[in-house]
Amino acid sequence: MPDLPNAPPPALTSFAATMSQRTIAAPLWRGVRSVGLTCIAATPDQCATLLSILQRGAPVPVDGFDAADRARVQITADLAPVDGRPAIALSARPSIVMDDAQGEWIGPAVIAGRGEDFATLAERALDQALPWRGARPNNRLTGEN
Amino acid sequence: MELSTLVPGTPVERDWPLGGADDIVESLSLDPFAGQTYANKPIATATQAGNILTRSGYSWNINNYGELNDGVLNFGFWNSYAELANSYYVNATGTIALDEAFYADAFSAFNADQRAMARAGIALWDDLIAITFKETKSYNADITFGNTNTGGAQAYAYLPFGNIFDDSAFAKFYDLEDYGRLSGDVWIDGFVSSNFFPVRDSFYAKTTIVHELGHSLGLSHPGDYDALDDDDGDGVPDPITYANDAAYAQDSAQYSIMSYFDAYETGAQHIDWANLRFGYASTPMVHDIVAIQKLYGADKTTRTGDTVYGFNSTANRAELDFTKNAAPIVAIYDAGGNDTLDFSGWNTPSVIDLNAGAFSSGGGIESFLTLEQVNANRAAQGLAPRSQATFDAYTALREELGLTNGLYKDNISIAYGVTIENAIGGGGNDRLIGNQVANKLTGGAGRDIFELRTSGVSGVDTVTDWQRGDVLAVDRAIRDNNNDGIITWRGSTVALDTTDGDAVVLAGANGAAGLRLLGSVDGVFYYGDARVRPVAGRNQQVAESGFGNDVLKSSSNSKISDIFFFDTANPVAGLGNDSLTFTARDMIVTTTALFDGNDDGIIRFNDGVLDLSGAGGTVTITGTRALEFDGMIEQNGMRFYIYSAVGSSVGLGSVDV
Repeated sequence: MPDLPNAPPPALTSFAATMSQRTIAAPLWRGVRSVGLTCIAATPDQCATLLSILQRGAPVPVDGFDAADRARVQITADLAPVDGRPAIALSARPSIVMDDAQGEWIGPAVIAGRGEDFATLAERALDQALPWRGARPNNRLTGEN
Repeated sequence: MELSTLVPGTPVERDWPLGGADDIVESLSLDPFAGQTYANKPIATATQAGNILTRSGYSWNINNYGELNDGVLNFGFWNSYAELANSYYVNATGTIALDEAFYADAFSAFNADQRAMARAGIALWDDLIAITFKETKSYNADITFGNTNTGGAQAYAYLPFGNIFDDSAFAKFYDLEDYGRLSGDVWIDGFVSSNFFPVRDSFYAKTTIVHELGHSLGLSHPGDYDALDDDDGDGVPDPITYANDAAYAQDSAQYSIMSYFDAYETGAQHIDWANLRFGYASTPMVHDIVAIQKLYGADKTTRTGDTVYGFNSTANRAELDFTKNAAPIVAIYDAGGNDTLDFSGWNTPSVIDLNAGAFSSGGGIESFLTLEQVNANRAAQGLAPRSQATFDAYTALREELGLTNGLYKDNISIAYGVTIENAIGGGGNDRLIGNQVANKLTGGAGRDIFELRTSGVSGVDTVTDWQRGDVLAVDRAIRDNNNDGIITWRGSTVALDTTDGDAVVLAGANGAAGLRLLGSVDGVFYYGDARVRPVAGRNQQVAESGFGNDVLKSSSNSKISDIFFFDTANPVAGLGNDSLTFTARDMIVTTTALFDGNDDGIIRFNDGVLDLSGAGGTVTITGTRALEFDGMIEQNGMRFYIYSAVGSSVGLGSVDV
């Protein structure tokens, strides 16, 4: 495995200005009009911090409830430590399943780096889970999904 | 709507020809109406749709390192992260990695099921085009497969853009000189469960792979869907919808596996109501085939023998075998031979249209199920049960769509340029539509409609199993020399168009008894077997109702008993609003039982208007407001229900069928 810097690679989207493609959400996220967050193995403060970060910049309302609605995704944050280190494992499921195509998104646990604070850890975890976030450079310059 | 009166610019509303039963509704493709509008969107020709799907201009023929010079595209699977890390996904000095390699913990190799789906997907595209695909190791592959985190997109693939960036300042700066090798690579989201289960045809995992391979080969979506579009101007991006974002009418999964819009947007019905789930295409669809063959040429060697598609399939493709693909959403491509589309495994009404580019309809359920029944079906397939909330949501959806049954509609199509010669129906009341070559049509059980179009030369078609309840439908009235509505013939063939020899052999029909004109609906003339009627005995006269509003005449002779016949089980159309005068000597004969609310054998119609069951219609009766059910005769596969005036002396024994 190459010895890569810890930081993400340089953003490539500027290069792709003339070739930008549009992202289509997976069936899980299509038509979603609200998101709910529930936490497992989390303190109230941790859950509140996660919720606050989740709400920031979200294109749809985000709350801290588990509610039933066809156009809603429920996110579960499991804060159980991994190998003794702080971690956040996120999963997303439709609130009311309409189709087998929606499935569930079950992400890998995001484990805190040495000295990493909870808010930063939360940002990284949510970047992986949410289609409207993503510090990942979009190198799909000439790809479609 | 009369098809012949459509003018440019006229919105095309899907006014289906009247159905004799709710179940059969003729399917229509939008393609022949190109230039007009549907749902306020322009209808494209198939060629235009193909141009839209190939608008990126990319293909393996251009700028792709000569990979296709030998006519072979290679595909392979990343077996480990190490393979990926040692590939063009990481620059030569190992200091820069593209996303898929950088996020190592997001990578996983395709499992066995995924590889099987990928190979099947490759085979489907391979069938269509004049290039060959070969599986190799990942480092030799043009198209590779792997799992990663797509950031919420289910999957993505690189178009075959080739080496156009390899000499760019960007590529040089980051030492990514083989950047173009990304072309065609397919990445599936390894964290979304629906990419891994179910892996069967008509489920999303399979359709995703076939869709992404479409991108790998150069196809785009039918539209540049923009997730950031704010259609209502409230500052918040709006969901991508057919209404707001489809640029042309046929941008739906009915026509293209590259579309994101549900097939019901264009009038198809692909929801599996037996299991409360959406069905997805297992193969490239009609417009995809036009597009991909534009890029690479059609494969002239695919299944050139006599091939059966559907049940009893010999196509050697599970997708095209309806015992394996039980909820098929497919398009059929075939390069020659004497071929058959076989729907014999279904006992529900089917439509089989043998014309190239046309849609057929088969499978599904006639009556909607309870939640318990749905969950029993789902358990049998290893699917999670549906909740009451989901059941209620589907109930609301079917009401919104105006569905009266769960039958599939427009789920099976024939690619343009393909000739399928023969059709076999199933146990329901089917409609089999011939094409421009001599067809062999087998209806199976049920009262089937055999529709033959005589414009141009269509040859001599054969109906192999004509039964008394069947109906012949033609787009031009058969010559009736004495204008009595009865067509008789000598020999084996019925002439349909004497100018070019179009004719039909109705094996099982009786030329002397002949066919009876039932009426015309939307420019199509329907003929039933003339033997399907009561036979007038001594002092009897028979009058039959057709599709229109008939005044059924009684005999002027007071000794004559009138028998009024209503073929209410006919598979074509309602019998209109008729009228007649009824006496104690007369009888009414139907082919479905009239509604008897309290089951006492008396049919009451206090307003003087009798509602006909089955195909529908009404009869205004002068002379009585009640009928007595005398009995039923079953003969030659037909049932005749006899009704007379209450307490009359005529009845069951008075009628010969």
